[in-house]
Amino acid sequence: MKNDNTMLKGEGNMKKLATIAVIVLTSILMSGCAAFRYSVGEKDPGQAGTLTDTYDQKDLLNWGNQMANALSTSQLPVQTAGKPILVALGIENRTMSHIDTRAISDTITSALLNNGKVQLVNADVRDRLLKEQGYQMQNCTAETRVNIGRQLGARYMLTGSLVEITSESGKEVRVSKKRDVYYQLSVNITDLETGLVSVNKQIDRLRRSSSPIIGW
Amino acid sequence: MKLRNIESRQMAQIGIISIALLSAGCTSMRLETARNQYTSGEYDKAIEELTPIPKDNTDRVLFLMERGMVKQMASDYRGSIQDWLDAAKAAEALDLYSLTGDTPSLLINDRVMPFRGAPYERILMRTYTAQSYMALKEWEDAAVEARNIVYMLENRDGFPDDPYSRYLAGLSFEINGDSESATFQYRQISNTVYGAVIQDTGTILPLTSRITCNKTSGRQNELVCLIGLAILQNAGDAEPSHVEIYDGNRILGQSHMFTDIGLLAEATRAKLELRRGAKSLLRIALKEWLIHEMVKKDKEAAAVLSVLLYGLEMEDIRRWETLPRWLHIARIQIPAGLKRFRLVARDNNGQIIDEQLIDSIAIKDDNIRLAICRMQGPGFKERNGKMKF
Repeated sequence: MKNDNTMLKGEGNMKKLATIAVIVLTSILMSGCAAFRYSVGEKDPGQAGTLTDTYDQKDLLNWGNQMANALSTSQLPVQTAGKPILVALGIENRTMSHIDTRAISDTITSALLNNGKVQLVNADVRDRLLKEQGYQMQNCTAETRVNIGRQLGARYMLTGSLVEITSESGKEVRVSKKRDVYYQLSVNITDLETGLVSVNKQIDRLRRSSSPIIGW
Repeated sequence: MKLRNIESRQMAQIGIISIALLSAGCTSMRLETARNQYTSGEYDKAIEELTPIPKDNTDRVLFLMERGMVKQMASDYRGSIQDWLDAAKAAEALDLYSLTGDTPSLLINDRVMPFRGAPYERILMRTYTAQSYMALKEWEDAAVEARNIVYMLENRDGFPDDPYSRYLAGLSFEINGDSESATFQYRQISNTVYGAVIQDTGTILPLTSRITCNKTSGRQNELVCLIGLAILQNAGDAEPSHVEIYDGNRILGQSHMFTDIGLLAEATRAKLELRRGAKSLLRIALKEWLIHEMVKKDKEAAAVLSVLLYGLEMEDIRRWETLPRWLHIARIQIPAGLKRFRLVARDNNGQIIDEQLIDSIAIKDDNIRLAICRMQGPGFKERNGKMKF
């Protein structure tokens, strides 16, 4: 009789354990489903959050638009008949990453063109002339850029530089590592007739990231 | 019956140890084969041996470092850049302490940890990436690498400085017109190079030289020659003293040793000694505790465990082996228009230990020419030391 009771009690415990196991397994499966599923979704590139403290798509779009707006509000000193002709001659990459600064330059010039403020020299024509004269855009000296701009019949030249300063938290007892990444985008519009800088604009951005020092 | 049990246990024990050692040695064997193929000048075979590299391989960074070097020697500069950038990214991701990747090293050995590369190797990887960009005349990208070199050298946390990498960073800045940053780097190493003084302009001024250069007529240009000297095969104990640069039979100047990678490795090892020693002590204590606990339950199993745990105890000797041993730089005056040079490596007794012809490339306005080469001694076929532009 005592043995029967013990057996019944044992069966009851087993049932309880099985129920708990089913509940735990179901909840793991339900919560873990997303983790094991590949999914793709459309995002607005301007609104999507950032995943890195270094240069990303958000910087490209923000800098392009902000810089184009800032340049559009500046009056170019000498207004020629019609819209002034501008040639983009590269933004120098002075960062620690291999950033495609040509994309930044293209985004700025596209926005300027859409604002209707300037006419642009075709990038292919510019590159062909550079190639004919044995230059690569990134290897041009300032003097070469001016000469190329004049030969292309442009009145204004857009150049610039992108600078990066990175600093990390020092050695200490900690569970996470902090890092600041600062970028400064500086763009100049130079009057090719006078050789003077007509417009100069700067954009700064700082992102602080905190990464764990222990992971899986 | 008992005897059979012991035999089967011993077999299992041997089996486990063999599997563990084989799994550790498998990747080492591929690396060794590729390194031998590389030193024999069989670059294509070496690249094939190092391809593919599984993403979860603990030696992934090392594979990429080695393959990058083979590709650079095979004049596949784009490929070498890609490998080294991937390696830098992978090594950076490993800065995080991984519970799954690093914790086993507390019980087994440091060899099971993912290879991150010593600080000097990670800096030199950036230096060699910059050299590949220079070979492609992509000066702005070379300067990006130079900024990384400077950042790593400024934050090297007591690890040794690398004058060669500093000079190369300075040269990249100079080429890109950033003379202030260049001067700052040159100044850092002004008195660190034996037998020469580095001026603010990057000029390498020999303090004493056995070489008397003939005066050249006409407009003077400069040649910057970046030379990697590897372990010289069939050359006995001969160590290279310097490399002489000739125009035909006329001597133009000589190189100076900026970095001895052997010394960098030694200084790094000494710096890490204390940390590694403490970790080894902790590991041995942990192993002893585990064996002690097992003895209480089963003496035979404890004996197996003891053999297994101590059988797996081994030193982590992984390193980037295709790097040259000595890094030399020559910056000399050359006659305008001269593009091809003859390089002669000599030992301390003045004996020739290697000789080769190299071509140079123009830097921007053609006043400075750049040559990158590697001299590996008489054991190498002539073509192996050269890099095509």
